[in-house]
Amino acid sequence: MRPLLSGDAVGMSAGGGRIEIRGVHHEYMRQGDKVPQVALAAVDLDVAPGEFVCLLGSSGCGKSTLLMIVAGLFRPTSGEVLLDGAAVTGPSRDRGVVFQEYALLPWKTVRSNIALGPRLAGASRRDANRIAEEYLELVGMPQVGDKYPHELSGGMRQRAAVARTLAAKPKVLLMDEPFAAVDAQTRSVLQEELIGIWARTQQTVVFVTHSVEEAALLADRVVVMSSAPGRVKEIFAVELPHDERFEPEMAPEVAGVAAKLLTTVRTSRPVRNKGSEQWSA
Amino acid sequence: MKVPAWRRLLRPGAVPVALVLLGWLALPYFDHIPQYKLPHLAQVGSDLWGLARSGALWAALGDSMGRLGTAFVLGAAAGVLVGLAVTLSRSLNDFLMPVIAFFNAIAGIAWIPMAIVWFGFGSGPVIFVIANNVFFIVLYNTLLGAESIPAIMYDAVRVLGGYRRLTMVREVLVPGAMVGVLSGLRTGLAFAWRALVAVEMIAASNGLGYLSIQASRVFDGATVVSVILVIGAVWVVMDRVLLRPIERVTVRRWGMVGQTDF
Repeated sequence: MRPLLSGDAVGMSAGGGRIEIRGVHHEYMRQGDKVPQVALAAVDLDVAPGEFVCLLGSSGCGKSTLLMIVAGLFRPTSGEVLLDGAAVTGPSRDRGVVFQEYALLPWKTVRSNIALGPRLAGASRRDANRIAEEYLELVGMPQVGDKYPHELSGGMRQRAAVARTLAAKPKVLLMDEPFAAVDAQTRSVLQEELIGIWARTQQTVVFVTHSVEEAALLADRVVVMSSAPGRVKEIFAVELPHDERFEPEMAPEVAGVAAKLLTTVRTSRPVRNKGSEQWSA
Repeated sequence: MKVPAWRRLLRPGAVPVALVLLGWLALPYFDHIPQYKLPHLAQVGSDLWGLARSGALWAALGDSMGRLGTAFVLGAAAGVLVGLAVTLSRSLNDFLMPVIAFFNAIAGIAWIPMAIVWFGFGSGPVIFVIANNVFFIVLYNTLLGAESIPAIMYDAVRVLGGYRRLTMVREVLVPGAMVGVLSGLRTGLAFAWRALVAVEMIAASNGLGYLSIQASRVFDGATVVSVILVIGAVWVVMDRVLLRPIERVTVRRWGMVGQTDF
């Protein structure tokens, strides 16, 4: 893999990026149900500017729902999300999202996909394309601008999706299991690249994952969620320095953190009311 | 890789064509089929040559193609526009779809008597009936295309700062519906071309359909078969020079339909 290059225009974000999640509660009706399902129950969470937070939990714990609420794509049943003190009312270029399924527009070249954010912010076609090239360089594939998304591998598509999100200069980066669909080898390369980019842009990152190893490698803090209903179970600070976590000799320490997270995730299975069936780990 | 022209003739697809021609040549020797029931290949060839030399063929072809072009453009444009509008507006959808569903069932040939009363013999009823036919085919395919766009495509544009409706239409709806629109155009043109000849037989006094029905009235089987051959050939040409190239530079290029090129 080529190392990350440093284009001058690709620099720190505009600053800010404090996220406050206040009593977020989310219910939805499934077809045929009489009572609503509670996806999230009274979630409170603060994310500091520039912090890298992982939301960790098994599927169905509402971690992706919480991310979509922060993105403004879902509206919570009650509670609110603040970005730098202002209430979130809908999607905005302040909060960039990297989707698990890439969500690149198939009818646009990779360059035009990445240029879309700058274009929508009012940049000329020429400027937007120049910015797109810089971000293609940042994610290590300056030569694929003219290709269409279907011509790229899964890993390259996800790089393009990250570049597209970054090119819109969001204050916070919301990532919904972005590396779940790529192979293990590509995943570890992408993880290291992401940390490299984050170290330079210093954006706030909220990263949803179900992998304890991924959370141990990436996060400043790991928010372990329990399911049915989704709540914050426990918050871990990972003390290892970011730039050392990918070194082979640090593997045992990272694995140790992962093991601790795994224990918490396991015991975070829902315990129903007394008398009803008990769920064991 | 570039395939030389003579090699193309050896493609598997050429075999059935050759068999049909051979069968046609051989048929008169097996049974005594009169010329007016199935003219010989040579007879049709000389008739076609005669029609081409006299200009009758080109005049009829020109009349038919002119009607086809007008009707197709009108019907297709209306179909795409109404399709997108109905996708964009829930209330317009609820308002229009019942009446559209009703008229879809009677689109085309059933209108011929009314169209003749309204427009008189000639191009009027032909264009009306064909445009009507094309409209519904393109409309339904546009709706299908628009429905097939994953919601995440809209979300992706919204989080990049696409807040306006017009942005969504331009960046997602129109290109995303393209697969459906193009298949609608292709099906619509194919139906239009077939129906056109039929309507011309009834409601027009020139064009390929009229040429054919007139010939049949004087038992001129060679001309009838000539018209059949011309109809088939024109379709193949339209499909190759018009529809497939459009597909190739759009939805095929974007990987939105299968990569098999034929």
